[in-house]
Amino acid sequence: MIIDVQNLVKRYDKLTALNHVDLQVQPGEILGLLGPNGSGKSTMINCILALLQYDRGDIKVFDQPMTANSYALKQRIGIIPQEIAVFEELTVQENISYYCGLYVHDRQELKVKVQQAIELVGLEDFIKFYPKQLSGGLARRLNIACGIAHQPELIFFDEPTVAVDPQSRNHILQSIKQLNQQGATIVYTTHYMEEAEFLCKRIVILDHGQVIAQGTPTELKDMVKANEKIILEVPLLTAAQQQVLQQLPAIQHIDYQNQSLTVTSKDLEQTLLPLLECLKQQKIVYANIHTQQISLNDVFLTITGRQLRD
Amino acid sequence: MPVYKTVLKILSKNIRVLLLGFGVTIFMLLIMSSNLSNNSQTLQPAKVAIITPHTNSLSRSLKQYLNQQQQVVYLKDTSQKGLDDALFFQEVDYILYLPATASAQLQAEQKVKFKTKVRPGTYSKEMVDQNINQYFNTLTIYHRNLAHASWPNILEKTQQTLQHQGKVRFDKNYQRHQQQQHTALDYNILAYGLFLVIFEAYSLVSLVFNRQAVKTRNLCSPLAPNKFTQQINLGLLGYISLITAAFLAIIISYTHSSFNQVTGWFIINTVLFILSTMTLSSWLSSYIKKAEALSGVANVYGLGTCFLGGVFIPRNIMPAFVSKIACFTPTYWFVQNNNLIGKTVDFNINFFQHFAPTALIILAFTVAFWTLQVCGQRLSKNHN
Amino acid sequence: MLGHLIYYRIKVLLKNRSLLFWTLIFPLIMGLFFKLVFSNLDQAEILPTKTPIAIVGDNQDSQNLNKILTQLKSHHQPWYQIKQLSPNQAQHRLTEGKIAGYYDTRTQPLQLFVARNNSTQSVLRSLLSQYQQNRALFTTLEKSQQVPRTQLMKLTKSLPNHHYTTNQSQNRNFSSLSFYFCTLIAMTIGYGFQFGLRNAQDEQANQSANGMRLSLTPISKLIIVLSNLIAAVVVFYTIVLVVVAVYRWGYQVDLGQHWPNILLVCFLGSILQICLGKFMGNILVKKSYSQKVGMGTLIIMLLSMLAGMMGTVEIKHWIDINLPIFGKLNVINLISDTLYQLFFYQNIQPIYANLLWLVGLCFFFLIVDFLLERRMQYASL
Repeated sequence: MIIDVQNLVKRYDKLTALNHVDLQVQPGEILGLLGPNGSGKSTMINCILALLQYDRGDIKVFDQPMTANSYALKQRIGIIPQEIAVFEELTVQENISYYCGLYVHDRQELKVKVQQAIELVGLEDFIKFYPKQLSGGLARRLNIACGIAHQPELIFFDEPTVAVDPQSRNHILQSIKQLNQQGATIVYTTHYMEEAEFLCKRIVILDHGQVIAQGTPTELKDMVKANEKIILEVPLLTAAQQQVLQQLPAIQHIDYQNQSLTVTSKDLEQTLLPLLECLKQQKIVYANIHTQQISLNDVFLTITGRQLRD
Repeated sequence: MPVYKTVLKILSKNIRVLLLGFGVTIFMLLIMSSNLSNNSQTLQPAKVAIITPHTNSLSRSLKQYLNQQQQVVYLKDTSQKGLDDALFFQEVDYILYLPATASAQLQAEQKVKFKTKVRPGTYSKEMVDQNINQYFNTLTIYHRNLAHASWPNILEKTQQTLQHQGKVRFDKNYQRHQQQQHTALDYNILAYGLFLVIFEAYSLVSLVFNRQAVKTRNLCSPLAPNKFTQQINLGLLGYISLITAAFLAIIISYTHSSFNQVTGWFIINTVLFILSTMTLSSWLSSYIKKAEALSGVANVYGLGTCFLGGVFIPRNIMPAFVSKIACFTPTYWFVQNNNLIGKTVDFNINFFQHFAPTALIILAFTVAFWTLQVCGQRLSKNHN
Repeated sequence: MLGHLIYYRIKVLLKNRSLLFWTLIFPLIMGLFFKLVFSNLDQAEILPTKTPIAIVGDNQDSQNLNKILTQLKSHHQPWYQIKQLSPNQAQHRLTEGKIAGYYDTRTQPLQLFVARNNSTQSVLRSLLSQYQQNRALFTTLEKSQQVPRTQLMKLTKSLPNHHYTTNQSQNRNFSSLSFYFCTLIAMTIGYGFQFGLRNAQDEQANQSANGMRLSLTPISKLIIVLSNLIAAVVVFYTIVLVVVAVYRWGYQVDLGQHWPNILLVCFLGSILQICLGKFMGNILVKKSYSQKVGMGTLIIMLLSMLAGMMGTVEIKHWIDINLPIFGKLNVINLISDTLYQLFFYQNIQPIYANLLWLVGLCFFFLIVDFLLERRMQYASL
C-alpha cells in the first residue's frame, strides 16, 4: 500500500474538517479525491504530508509512519500545491532546477531531469521566461514541472487545473496520465468530475470532511439506480399522455419541463423502442432525441441532494 | 454619480494611510519648529562647563563671572565619553579645565595655560575664549598693580569690575518679526505633509482606475472617458478641499495666528502650492502601476524637495548650487514666498512686487504639470 | 546541497527590486540629499567675517570701540566692516537687515541695538561688555591711587592681552555631516529587516506556497533556514558595503579611521536586522507581506528619527542620557551611535559596550528565530 490513512480526525476550533476518514492508495493507481470546495480535500493532503497537525488517526506512506522529519519518504514524494509555488525572481528553468536540485544531487542527472520535466509539461519555448510573463495555463504547467522533475513515486496534485484554458488543461491531464504510465502513483484532488472520470481508476468522494462514497467510476455510477436518460424535444405533452408514458417498461421517472421530456430508465434497450412506438401511437410530435450517460455529478446529487459545483 | 462615490469610497477605505500624513505633519511641527528659532528677549549665551578637582575662591569667582557673561552648565558625566558626547551633541559648547594649582600659579605670577575642549573655529569658542582672557587679564593687572591688596580682595575687585555688562536694546519690530518668521517656518513644514496626503490620494485612486481590467470595463461603459475623469477629479477635489481646510485649521491654531493680512498671504501661498501639488500628483500618479512604487516616490520626492527646498534646513546654510537644483520644484518657491511673508513688516507694493513673480512661477508649475499629463494621455492613446 | 540552496537564494534576493530599492537606491538618494543639504551645516557655528555693523556718535568711546573692533581678525579676515552712521541711518539699516547691529555711544552706558537674536549679536554684546569692563578697570586703578600715572597711561595704550587657553580639540572633526551619515548607514542596515521578512515568508508553509513546497522536500528545515540566512547576509552585507563605500568615496564623508571596527559593526548590524525581520515575519503570520513591509518601514523611519537622523539630535542625546536602555534597544540608534563613537571618540574603549549589546541582541534573536522556525507542523495553513 502506498498510502494508508486510518481514522483521521482534524479539527479547526469548532469546525471538524476531517471526521474519521479512512483512505487507501494502491501502487500505480490514480486516485481521485472528489468533493466541493471546503469538503476537506486539501486538509486531507496536508495531513498526509505531515504539514498539518491532526487530532487523531494513523497515517502511513510507503508503509512507514509519515512525520515532518521523514526525509527519506519526502524524497519519494512530489507535490503540486493549489497555489502556484514558484519564485517570481527565477526563470522557468531556474525554478525547476532549484526545486529538482533539492532532491537530486548529481549535476548531470539534475540537468537531464530538468530537461525531461520541461518536455513533459511542454514549456520548451519558455525556459527563459519569468513566471510573471506566463499565461495562467503555462504558469500551472510550471507549477507541475517543479513538483515532478525529480521523478517521484508518489505525486499529489491539488486542483492543478483551476482557472486554466482548455488547451493547457488537456496538456496537464495528458501529462498526468503519462506520469502514471511511467509508474508514478497519483493522488488527484479536484471538483471537476469530468477530470476525475477521465483520469482516475478509483475515486473517493468527500463531503463535510467525510468519505461519502468510493470506488471505480463505474461502481460509483452503479450506486445510482437510474442508469441512463433519454431526452426529447416535445412541443406539447398533456398530463394524460405523461400517464401513458409512465406505464412503459423499465421507466423510472418522467420529467417534462420547458418543452423538454427527460425519461430516466434502468435499461435503455428495454425502454427506447417501446417509447418511440408509444409516441407514434399517441401522435406526439417530437424532435432532437438523444441519450445521456449518468455522470459523477448525478452520483453526488443522489447522495447529498446537492450539485457538486454548488 | 457612481464614479464620484467610488472615489470617495476608495479614499475613506484608505483613511489610515492618509491620516498618517496628518500625523507626520503635526509631529514635525512639534519636533522641528521648536528647534528652529527662539524669540526670547535675551541674546543666546554659550553653554560653558568648568571642570575642576576642588572648588576654591578662584573657581567660584570665575564661575560667577562666566555665568554672568554666558551660561555655566553642570555636567553629570565627566568621563571622556560623557564630555565627548556633551560637546558633540551641544549639551555644552565649551569645557574649561581649571587645575587645583591655578590659584597658586597666578599668585606666583607664573605663566598659565588652561586646557579647554571646544569645537574649533566656532563663535562660542571665540566668545568664551575672550571672556576667559578678559577675566585673567583683569585679575593679573590688579594683582600686579595693587601691591597692598590681598588675594581675596583682588578677586573681589575683579568680580566688581567684570560685573559691567553691555546694554542690549531690541528693535521695536523685533518681537513681531521673530513671531512672523517662526510662523513662516511652520507653514514651510506643511509642504511635506500636504504632498504626502495629496499625492497618496491621487495614487490610490489612480491605482484602482488604471488597473487594466477595470480600465477596459470602464471604457466599455456608456460613460464617456472625460466624464470619468471629471467625476474622479471632482471626488478628489472634494477630498482635497477638506484636507486643505484641516491643514489650515491645524496651522492657524498651532501658530496662534489671528485672521489678519499676514495670515491671508500665508493662506494664499498655501493654496497656490496645493494647486501645483494637485496637478503634479495627478501627473505622477498616472505613471504609478504598483502600490510599492507609491511609497518610494512619495518618500523620495517628498523628502527630497523638502530638504533641498529649505523646509527642514534653513536655506542660508546650504551650498548655493543646491538652491539652483531646488528651484525646479514648486516646493522651493512655496518656501521662498513663506519666508518673504515672514520677514515683511509692511505689506506694500514693494512686497507685492516680490511676491507676485514667485506666485506666478508656482502657477506656471501647475499649468506645466497639467500639460504634461494631458500630453502623456494623448501619447498613450495614440500608442493604443 | 548548501551551495545549491545558497546560490539560488542569492539569485532570488538579487532579482527582487523592492528589496534593492529600499536597501540600496533609497539610502543612496537620501545620502545625496544629505550631502547636498548638510555639507555646510557646521558653518552655521562658525563666526562669520566682514559682518557689517555701525557705530553711532562721535566721541572718545566711538573712536576706542572702532579701534578695538577693527583689530579683531581671524585668519587675516576682519570680523567686522564698521560704518560711522547717524542715528536715523543706523536705525533704518537695522530694520532693513543691512547691518547686524549698531553701537550707540551717545549715552552712558553704551548701548547695542539689534533686530535679530543670533550668534553675531551675542558676540557683539560680549565685546561691548568687555569694553565697559575695561573702562571700569581703569577707573578702579585710578581710584586706588596705587598705580603711577605713567604706568596707567601705558596700560591705557595697550592692555596686556595674554591668552590663557589652549584648545585640546583643535584637530578633532566635529562634523555633523558625519553624524548624519552614521544615522543613514544605520537606517540602511535597518532596512535589512526586509531580507529577514522575505526569508520567513519563503520558509514557512503557513505563509507561502513556496514555504509549503520547501517543507515537503527531503532537506532538513535547519539547512534551508541556514542557507537562506547565509544568502541574505551575503547579499545584504555586500549592499551595505556598497552604500558605505559610496558615502565615503563618492560623497566624500569622513567616517573616521577605525575601518575594521566600522565593518564589524555593519556586519553585526546586518545579521541583527535580518534576524529581526524574520522574527517579525514569524510572529505576524496573519498580516500580508506588503503590510509587514509597510509596518517595518514605518518603524525604521521612527527609530531613525529617535536616533537623530531628522535633525532630532537633541532627542537622541536626551534618550541616551535619561533612557539608556531604550537607546540601546533602538537598534538603529545602537548602530549609528557605535559608528559615531568610532568616528569621533579619541579613545574607542566605550564602543565595546555597544558591540556587546549588538552581539547579545544577535544571539538572542537567532535563538528566538530558531525556536520559532523549528516547528514544521502547523495547526492551520
